[in-house]
Amino acid sequence: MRTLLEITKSGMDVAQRGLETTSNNIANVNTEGYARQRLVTNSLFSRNGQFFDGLGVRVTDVQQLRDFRLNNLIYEKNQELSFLNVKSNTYSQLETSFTTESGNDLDSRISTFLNTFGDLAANPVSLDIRRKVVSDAEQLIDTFNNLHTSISSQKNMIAEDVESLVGVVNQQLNDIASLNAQIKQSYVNKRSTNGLIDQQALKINELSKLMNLDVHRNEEGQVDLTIKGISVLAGTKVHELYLANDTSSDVINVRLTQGGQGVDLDTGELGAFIELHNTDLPKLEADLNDFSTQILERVNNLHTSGVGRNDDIRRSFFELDGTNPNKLIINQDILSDIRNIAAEDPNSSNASGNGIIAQQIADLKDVEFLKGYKPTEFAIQFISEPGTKLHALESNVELRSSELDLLKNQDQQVSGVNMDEELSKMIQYQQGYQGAAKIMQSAQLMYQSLMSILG
Amino acid sequence: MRITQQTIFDGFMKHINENRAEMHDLQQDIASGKKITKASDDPLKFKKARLLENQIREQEVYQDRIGAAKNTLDLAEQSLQEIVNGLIEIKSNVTRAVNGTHDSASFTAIKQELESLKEELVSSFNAKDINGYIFGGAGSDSLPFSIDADTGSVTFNGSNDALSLKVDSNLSIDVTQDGNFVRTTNYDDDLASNPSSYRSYLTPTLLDDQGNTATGDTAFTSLEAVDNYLEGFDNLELDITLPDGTNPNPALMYNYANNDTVNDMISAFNTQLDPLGVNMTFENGTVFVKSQNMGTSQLSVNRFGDNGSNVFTTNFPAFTQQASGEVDQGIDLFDSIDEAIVNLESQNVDALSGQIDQFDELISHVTTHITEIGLTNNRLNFLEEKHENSKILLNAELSGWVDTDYAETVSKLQRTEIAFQSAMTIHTKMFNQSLIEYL
Repeated sequence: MRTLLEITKSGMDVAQRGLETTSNNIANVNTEGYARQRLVTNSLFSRNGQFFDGLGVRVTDVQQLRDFRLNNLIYEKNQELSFLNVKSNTYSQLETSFTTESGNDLDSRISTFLNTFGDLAANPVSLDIRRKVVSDAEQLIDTFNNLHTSISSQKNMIAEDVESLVGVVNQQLNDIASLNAQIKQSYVNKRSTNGLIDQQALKINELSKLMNLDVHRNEEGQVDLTIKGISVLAGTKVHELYLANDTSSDVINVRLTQGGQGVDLDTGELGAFIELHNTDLPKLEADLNDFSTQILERVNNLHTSGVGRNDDIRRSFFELDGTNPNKLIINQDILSDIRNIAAEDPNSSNASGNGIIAQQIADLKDVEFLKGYKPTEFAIQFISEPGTKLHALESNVELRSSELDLLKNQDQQVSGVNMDEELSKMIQYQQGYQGAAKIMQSAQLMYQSLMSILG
Repeated sequence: MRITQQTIFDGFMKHINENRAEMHDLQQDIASGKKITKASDDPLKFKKARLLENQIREQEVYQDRIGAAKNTLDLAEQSLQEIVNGLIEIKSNVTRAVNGTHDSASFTAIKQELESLKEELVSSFNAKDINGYIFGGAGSDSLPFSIDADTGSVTFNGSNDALSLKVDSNLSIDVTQDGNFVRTTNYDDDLASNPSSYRSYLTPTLLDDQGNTATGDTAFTSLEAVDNYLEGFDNLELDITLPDGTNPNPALMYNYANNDTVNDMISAFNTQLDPLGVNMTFENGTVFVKSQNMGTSQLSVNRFGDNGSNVFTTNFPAFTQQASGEVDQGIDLFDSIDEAIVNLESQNVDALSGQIDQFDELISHVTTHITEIGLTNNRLNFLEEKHENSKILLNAELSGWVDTDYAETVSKLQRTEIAFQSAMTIHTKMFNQSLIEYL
């Protein structure tokens, strides 16, 4: 008789635990990183002669449904996708400063400037045209300067971003380390680690968007993290990172705080930022410098071979000897007196007042000197560069994100909470409970009948 | 396969977002009228479009310049017409003086008339547009022609050489002119600017059309005619006296073969002449022999022919002027007027009657300039049309690359709208499907 009540009680217990699990699942249906849980039960029995007598049921575990291999794949895709996203965001920002809808970009500035010199060639006396030469030149160097600024300010922003992201990485590593400690404790005390593992997986997921990351999990549920074989987290020991900013070579990289070993990050947000800062943007900068120097130097060379209307002094048009290539300026002599613009070739057999130099400057538009491009063609190539990169990245982003979606779907299949499923489980446990209760009721009736006989 | 609520929701969000993004793009395309506004839309098309825009800009620059050039040329034509009118009036005045009553009062009246006409002519020569003086040469901002207060002679203060304007990728035209070319009938700016470059020349020129010229020299209607004529000579000898008074040794010889051209002959002689500092050219049917830096000496051509016969019947009017730079520039317009004024003063009817031909020549000389301007204007009109046509073609091509195809875009938009609405409807339905409804 006693056994009957115990068995019934164990059934009611399990149903109650089952309902608890289900309600926890339903409660966490929208919780990020939550993996659904299942009750694992075991029937109890005792040997009675040659029979096994059932002694009810017992909860052995509340199991979490999680596929760690799938999680690792998601981390990998996270790295690739966030790498591409950072790059496309940067190029998209650059594109808006490189090309405008109005079309008044570097290409049109250059051709306008050179064409105005062509007008000057036909009319070297006109002050109106000289004024236009100066204003076109100002617009041209403004455009050059703005392009320089937009690239270098991107670089500065990136350096700041990397600095704060490295801080985030260290914070996350410490968080995961303390989770590791808690997991170990719970494991030793035989308590559930499910909630801790959820948190841990969530943290790793966040971290994987930032950089290269390899996850090594032990049976207790603790994780070790490495970046390309370099340990950044071993159990509860964190090897923090710091941003090494080499100002002389204008290169940034990430190193271990202890020992200073370089960590070669080439994916994730940090990988993208570092590549942009150290490789992509310097190349754009160098192209722009090359372009501005070459075209302006050519203008200067011609200009210094000519003379203005006031005197025989040879002047350069732009001042290029400045140490800062981001700040191009027009020769002060020309700004203060536009008659100093040289249109005339004093050595020509043509009479004075000729526009030979101006025409030669104007003819630069048809000279192929930049990797075989004419100035306007090169300008078009240059200003299209971020857009071209962005265009290629966009299709990659699409591909990677649909891969990630697929993996996330697979993960949902394993770990996601299905409401219908949980509700049907609820009914199942409810009915289990009701059945057990019914038996208890019957047992009670049986007791009562027995008592009444005695009574 | 387990499908959770989250899976359905994620799928819904993904598709709705995609649809929204597509609708946004299409709506942008329609609103802006352009499907390519930045490089990332389509890098190749973007670059192509920018190149086309650059070409269009170039056409517009040329068109603007042609417009300006035509204005200048119109003004030049108008001034030249004024000059012709002035010359006609002068000629009729001179004719009146020759055929008139020959009393001193009328001579004085005509003389005064001529003086005022001369001033009018000078002001026509000083015509100016926004770019500067039309007959002032290259880039000069000083008054090109001025009358000396004492002597009354007209001097040129402008610069030689014209200003040329690039009106096509490889064509430049002169917009301003060196007024000396208008003023004198046979102006040679090479000689004027470099008096030590003396030349001898052999007439006649090709410019005659019938083979008989007024001077009685042999004239030709074409270059072939010259070739044919020269083929009759076996061993052509060019006998010159060098500025130092010596004759070239060995003598300068050339055997004109059947298939030779004038240019073959010129280059063969030049090989021999080059070490002597002398150069032979053939320009507009005239053979020139010139020497640089002769100092005070002179270069003369003694004979050009074979076995006692000359190639051209003319005597060779070698330039024998000294280094003073005094060279024959033909008839000078203002000098002729001054001469007429002097003749009127001295009442020299014979000299005046001799001058009538001079004025005729001047009138036809200036008229030739007007004709030339007319030809240039025609060429500019043609070019203007050409630029306009290529602009239209380039714009059409550009539009094909970047402009929105409305029919296509609107129908795409409708399709996307339907997809969007369907996604909304079907997902709202799906969300409501849950066991909760049945419990």
